[in-house]
Amino acid sequence: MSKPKKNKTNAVLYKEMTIDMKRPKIMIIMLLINLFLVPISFGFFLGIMFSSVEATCSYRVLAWYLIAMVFVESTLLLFLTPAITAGSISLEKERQTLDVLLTTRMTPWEIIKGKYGSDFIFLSLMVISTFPLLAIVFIYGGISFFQLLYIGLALLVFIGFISCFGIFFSTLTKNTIVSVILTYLFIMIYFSVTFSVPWVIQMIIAMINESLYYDKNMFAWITDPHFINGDFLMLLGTFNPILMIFDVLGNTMGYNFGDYTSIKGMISLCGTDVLPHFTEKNILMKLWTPISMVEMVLISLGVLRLSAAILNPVKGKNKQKKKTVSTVKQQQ
Amino acid sequence: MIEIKHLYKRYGRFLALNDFSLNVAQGELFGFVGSNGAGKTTTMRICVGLLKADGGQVLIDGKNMLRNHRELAEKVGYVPDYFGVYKSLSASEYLHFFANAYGIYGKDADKLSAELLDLVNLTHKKDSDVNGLSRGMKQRLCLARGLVHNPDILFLDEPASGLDPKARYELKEILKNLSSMGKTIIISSHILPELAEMCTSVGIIDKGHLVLQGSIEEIHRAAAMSSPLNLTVNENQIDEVFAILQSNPYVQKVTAQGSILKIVFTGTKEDEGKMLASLVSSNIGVNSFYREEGSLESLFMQIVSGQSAAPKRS
Repeated sequence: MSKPKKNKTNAVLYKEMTIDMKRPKIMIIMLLINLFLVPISFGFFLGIMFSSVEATCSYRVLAWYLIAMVFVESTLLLFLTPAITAGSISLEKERQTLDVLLTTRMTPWEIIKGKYGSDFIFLSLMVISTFPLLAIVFIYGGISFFQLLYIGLALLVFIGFISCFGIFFSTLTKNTIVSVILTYLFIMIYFSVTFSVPWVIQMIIAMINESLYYDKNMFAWITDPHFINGDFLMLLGTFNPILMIFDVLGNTMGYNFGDYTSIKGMISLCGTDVLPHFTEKNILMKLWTPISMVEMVLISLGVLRLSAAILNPVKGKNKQKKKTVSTVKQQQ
Repeated sequence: MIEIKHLYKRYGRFLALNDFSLNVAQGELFGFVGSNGAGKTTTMRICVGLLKADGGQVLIDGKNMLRNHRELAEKVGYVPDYFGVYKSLSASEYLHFFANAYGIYGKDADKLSAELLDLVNLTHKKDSDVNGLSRGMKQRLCLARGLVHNPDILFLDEPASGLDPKARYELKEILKNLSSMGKTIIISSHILPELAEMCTSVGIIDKGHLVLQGSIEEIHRAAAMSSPLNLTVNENQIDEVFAILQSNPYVQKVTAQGSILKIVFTGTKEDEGKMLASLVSSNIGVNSFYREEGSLESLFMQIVSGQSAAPKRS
């Protein structure tokens, strides 16, 4: 047997793309997703058109269609992504192919990259395949192609972020069902915490502020914006992918600070009274989406790196465990 | 080529490997025998970098496996005691994928896949789904997978387990063929006679410890010596014979069945002769004196049941 020239292409990604992706079930899944979205899309479209009180349909009215569709799609992806990704590694364990893969030249990081890459590409194709439904808004204009691409980018970051947790729990467990359940559970807790904690803390501060109205000097430190930093609290919100999509849509539609249907408006609603430094000019308010995207990409990378470390069968350096050996010898 | 030095491995309270050491020279077809749970799979998994030992080290060509895993992965092939196949792939696609995992793509992978399928006599099944292959065929395919990167060393964990006699024979022939190519093969099994037919040397592991290692000739010799000596004497002299035998340092155990005595004797042929001479010189009427034909199975059973009279590591 001859020794051929070596190539650095990721074998797992290559296999999934060249063999698995061509299977009919992939096309059937895509078709089903679109068949599910089409009636919803037309329902929204017709509903918005008929309920419009204006004689002519303005872009502002049709923008509601885009918001509704993006949220339906995000919800769908929120449920689909863990189901698709949480089996990536655990299925390899169930098939007993992971050990064999780990004895090859591939490192755990390469295996994780391959699996994540193929899942991400599949989910991205799913998002791209639904773009024509989102593009219906172009009928009346008002939204540019690049704005739609920006929404698409946010959706990609969204699926990329959720996918990494699917991969992580898949690495952690040996059973796919357990992995899927853990991923859903984690995502639910994560989304709830990052969404609610900033508001809950602000509400508590507001309540304390109110109750201490007559003796403000004594407890002034509690509501001092320098002590409890409002930016820090709001920063927690930037870790929430749903809020990120909400902000992207708000930017696309052109909602203003104080408009309560946008994230900035929501903050102005419950934030400005308690944390007066929150204004339209606040840097966090200006760059909510880019900050959110960078955070999510970094978290995704970190979680994937952690998954690769867990997957490594010979973790850590080869230190002689003298203690263990001596204990073993004593017990003989 | 392969040096295993003082390996320790513990799973919870169970000590799987206990100061396990082994040397396998280049080009050997080494049989690794032990009962279930003796530590064969654990040793192999440590050797191929799938498990970390609690103590000790594995050196391949003088390099530490744990520290040079990526480099040594190129030299080592592993076929575990399960198939590990992707059910949706054909035999050819399966080998292609593992060729890719070693960085071999395109026409090189096509050529390699065809060569390997030919080597394991599966060319006619190249487009068949892996799932549809028989157990023997799957095992041969897995062997081909282990050879994808043309390794110098091949670890096979109970490859003949569950195979019918025809599939076993085919596998044995392939292994002999690979051995003739100069590859070092370490093959595990819990059946010593099966390995003795094809291996050049054998090691027996029991409770995580290597209890016997030697060339196949040495193992056969040990097997021959492991069976008891049969001594038939006059029944009225039994007590006298017992007294003489008890004074012999090589006599481990004596059981009497009428006038026939079965003696577990650990000495050499010369020692046997001396013992017989002492009996005769004490006027014992010896009617017959011979050693039962020893088998590898009885040797293995004696070792694993703790009655070992076999020589220690050579």
